[in-house]
Amino acid sequence: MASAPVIQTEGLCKLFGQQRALDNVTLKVFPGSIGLLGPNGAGKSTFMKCLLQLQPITSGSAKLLGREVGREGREIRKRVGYAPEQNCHIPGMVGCEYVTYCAQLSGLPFQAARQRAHEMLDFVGMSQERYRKVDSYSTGMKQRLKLAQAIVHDPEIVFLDEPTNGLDPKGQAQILELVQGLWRNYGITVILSSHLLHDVERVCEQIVIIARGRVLVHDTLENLKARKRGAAEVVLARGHRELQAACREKNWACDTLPNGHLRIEHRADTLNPLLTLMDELHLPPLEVIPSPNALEETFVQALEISHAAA
Amino acid sequence: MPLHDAHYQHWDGVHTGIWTRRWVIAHNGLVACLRNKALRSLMMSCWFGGLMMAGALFCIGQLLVPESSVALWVPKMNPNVQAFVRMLTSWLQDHPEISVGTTQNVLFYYYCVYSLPLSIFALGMALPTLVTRDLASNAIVIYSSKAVTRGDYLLGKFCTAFGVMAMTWLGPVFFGWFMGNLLAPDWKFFWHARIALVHALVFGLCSMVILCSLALGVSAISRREKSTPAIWFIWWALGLAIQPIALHTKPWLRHVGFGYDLRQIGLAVFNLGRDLKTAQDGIPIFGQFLQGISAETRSAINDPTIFGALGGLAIMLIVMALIIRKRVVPE
Amino acid sequence: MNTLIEAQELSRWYGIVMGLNNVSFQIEPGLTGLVGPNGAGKSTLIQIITGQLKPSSGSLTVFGQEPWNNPSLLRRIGYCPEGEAVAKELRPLEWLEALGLLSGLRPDEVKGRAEAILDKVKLPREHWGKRLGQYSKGMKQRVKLGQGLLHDPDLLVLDEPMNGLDPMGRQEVAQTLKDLAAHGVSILISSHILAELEALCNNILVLNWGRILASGSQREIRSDIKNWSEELEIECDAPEKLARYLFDAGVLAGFDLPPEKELLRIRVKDAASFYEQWTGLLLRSGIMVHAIRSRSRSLQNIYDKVTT
Repeated sequence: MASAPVIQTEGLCKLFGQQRALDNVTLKVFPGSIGLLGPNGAGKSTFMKCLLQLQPITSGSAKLLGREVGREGREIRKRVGYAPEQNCHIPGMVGCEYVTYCAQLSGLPFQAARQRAHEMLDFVGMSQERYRKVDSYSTGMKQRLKLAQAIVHDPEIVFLDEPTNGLDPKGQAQILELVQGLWRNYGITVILSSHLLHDVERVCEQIVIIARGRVLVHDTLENLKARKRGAAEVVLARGHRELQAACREKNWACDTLPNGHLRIEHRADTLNPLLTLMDELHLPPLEVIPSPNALEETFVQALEISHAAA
Repeated sequence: MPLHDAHYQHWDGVHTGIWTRRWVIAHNGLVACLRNKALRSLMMSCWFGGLMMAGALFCIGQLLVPESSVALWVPKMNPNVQAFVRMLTSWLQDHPEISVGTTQNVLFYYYCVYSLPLSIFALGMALPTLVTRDLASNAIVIYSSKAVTRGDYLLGKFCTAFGVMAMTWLGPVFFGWFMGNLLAPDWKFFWHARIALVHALVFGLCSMVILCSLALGVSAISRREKSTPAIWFIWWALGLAIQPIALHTKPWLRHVGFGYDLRQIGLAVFNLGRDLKTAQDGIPIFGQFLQGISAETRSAINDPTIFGALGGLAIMLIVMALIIRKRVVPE
Repeated sequence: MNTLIEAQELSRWYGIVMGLNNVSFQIEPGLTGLVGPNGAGKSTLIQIITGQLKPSSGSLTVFGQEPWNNPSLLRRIGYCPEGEAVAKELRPLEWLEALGLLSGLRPDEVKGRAEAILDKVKLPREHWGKRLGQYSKGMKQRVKLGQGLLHDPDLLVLDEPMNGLDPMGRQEVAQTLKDLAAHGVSILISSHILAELEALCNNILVLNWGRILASGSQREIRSDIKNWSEELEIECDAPEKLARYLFDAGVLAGFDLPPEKELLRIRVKDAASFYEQWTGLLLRSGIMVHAIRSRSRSLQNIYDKVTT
């Protein structure tokens, strides 16, 4: 299905004095759920801020939803949602009031804004807390509120910066499920910027890695995993030593991880050779996870290559 | 029983215009201001001032009604005051087209200028809801990501401040003028007093625009909610304190106080000097009263240092604009 | 193996508010993860271990002694707290040197030690001249980790040590911690990121509502056949075909074909006998398998189970 790119940049440059935060970034991103990764201070946040017009562009062009970012700011932002990393609610306001206000600022008339505010608060799982002042919210509530205000105006694309920050595991899982649903069920493009690679792997289909002001990687997660297919993480109940010995015989690298799992490089496209080996040894696997840490390895590799090139 | 779809729904309505969004910002700011109980009480007292003004105009109007209690009260007054009141009454009767306008002009000058401090105080209390709180809580980032520009945001906040001043100053002034003339013995009072209203509105609108801009700038200086009102009040107090000192040392220093500068504008707009002279012609005994005024005050009234005031205010506004430009940015 | 930390009927109350409610556990030396929802009592427990709070009743001993009011014991414990509270006006070396002197290091050795620590936590030298107030979250985190390591503790207690670090930073800190553990330092990490705890720690402690809900090593949990899952998720080329094959083999209690293509979820009748034949079945079905995941194995699932 041919669709227009949601983000399109050409030769995008951003300078902070002498420092090149973004160096000739040319990128075309199509609708989907995209993970935006990168080391701290290396251009990832600057990239997002330039697209959202929180920072002016030095040179080059950037189009968001087909419109030039510098010129049609207001029009674009009617269809863009943003949930920043830090807390940014307006103190003294009640939860549903705040979300209604945000909807109105994005161009919704009051009746529609109020209605959608409550619908979105339902969607993110907030019940009676919506009638309390936002100052009294826990971290989990604040994150949900941020998400609600980011999608209340039915945007086409939503930028989420570390949406699970400060949440306990259950809260993280809930937010991630919501975020996952945004693209899968409702067609809203999600740009997730996070340092937690496991979250990104779970939610995103495309990956963009920005480091040293450049785009190092832009590919689908599936492709990235396919490149790392030759390794698997095996969880066994018993018989670790036997498996390790057998792998050594076959010349397959086998490491023991701190949690007791074995990481085996079988260098095949599917798990069947590994399963054959385990069948011969009568060792049932409890779990076999392919291309474990594929994203982390891609990330590290990309950075090393860019370091070497610099 | 069919289940309703309570999941996420898309929205494809018509977006509101930019002026609606600006109004939303202003309205939200005003609501936040009005949450402050002290500010609400202050507003009530300002309207009480307007009521007093209406009462004063009513009393003056009643001088022309022979059977009124005011007229009957005159003989009981102090002889000098009695003479003044009788001359005033006859002037009002003989030359209403000049006298009513002049009297009200003078009265409104003093009312506008001396009720201004209450509004300045109210603005000081409202400062945190302008930009300060948004800076502290990072809400500026949220505003930047919505369909409004920095200019829209500032315009909205400016209108919040304007609204506060309208409720504490312009509203009571207009109310005082309207009720005072409504309760006058003759409908023609409205017409005769038009000049006072025009002056009050011109002075009012100028002062409001200037004060609101200054307030917006001061509110952007710091993130701390206690600091910005403190800076505002200290600046105001400094301006007041410097008047007597600067008068004898460096007269241009007086322009540091925005209260002083606004008073100069008031003197120029209301043309108080000319009106006092007109009143002197109409009420001979009034001249005797004016003799008691010091030469300094007389020259201050007759020759307002308008250019100095405008210059001082212009510098202040430029500084505020620079502060706003630097501080109101999403980080 | 001697016990590192032992709690016996430990309670801590804040008036009527409960911090910890009658907990008893033992933590062995090594890498231990502490996990639980917000408000579960993790901070209270950490504060008792690091000697900042006194138990209301019961006892907690670290290395056999109680930490409260015990400077000689506290010298063996390093603490890297959560939050971004650092001395904003100081530079990192100044901060570390001051803390080092407080911990009893000699003035002549403290400077060298501070520099060595900053190198160890990989804080780039070009930032050493800046004040701590100007640091990013990640850099502050490294300095905090450094101050926990400064006096060479035997036990290091960390509260969300990876907060704000990018993936490279996380890996570096994880490696540093693994190296420390290899050198005999015991580490207690409190974190919300289960995947990282799973990859790093041998032992896990799950808290909720001031009580211990689960504890033990990940291996212990896995090696018990009672814990073997009866629910599996298989990624393969032809899920329907595999489902039919397994069904015909008579091992399934139920299966599910979720909308995500190439995925099959199964429930088996009897875990023990199933696992004996498992690999054989898969291979004989002739279908290419890409992944096998257990639905109730990982830390996430154990956590979900105990914290509902």
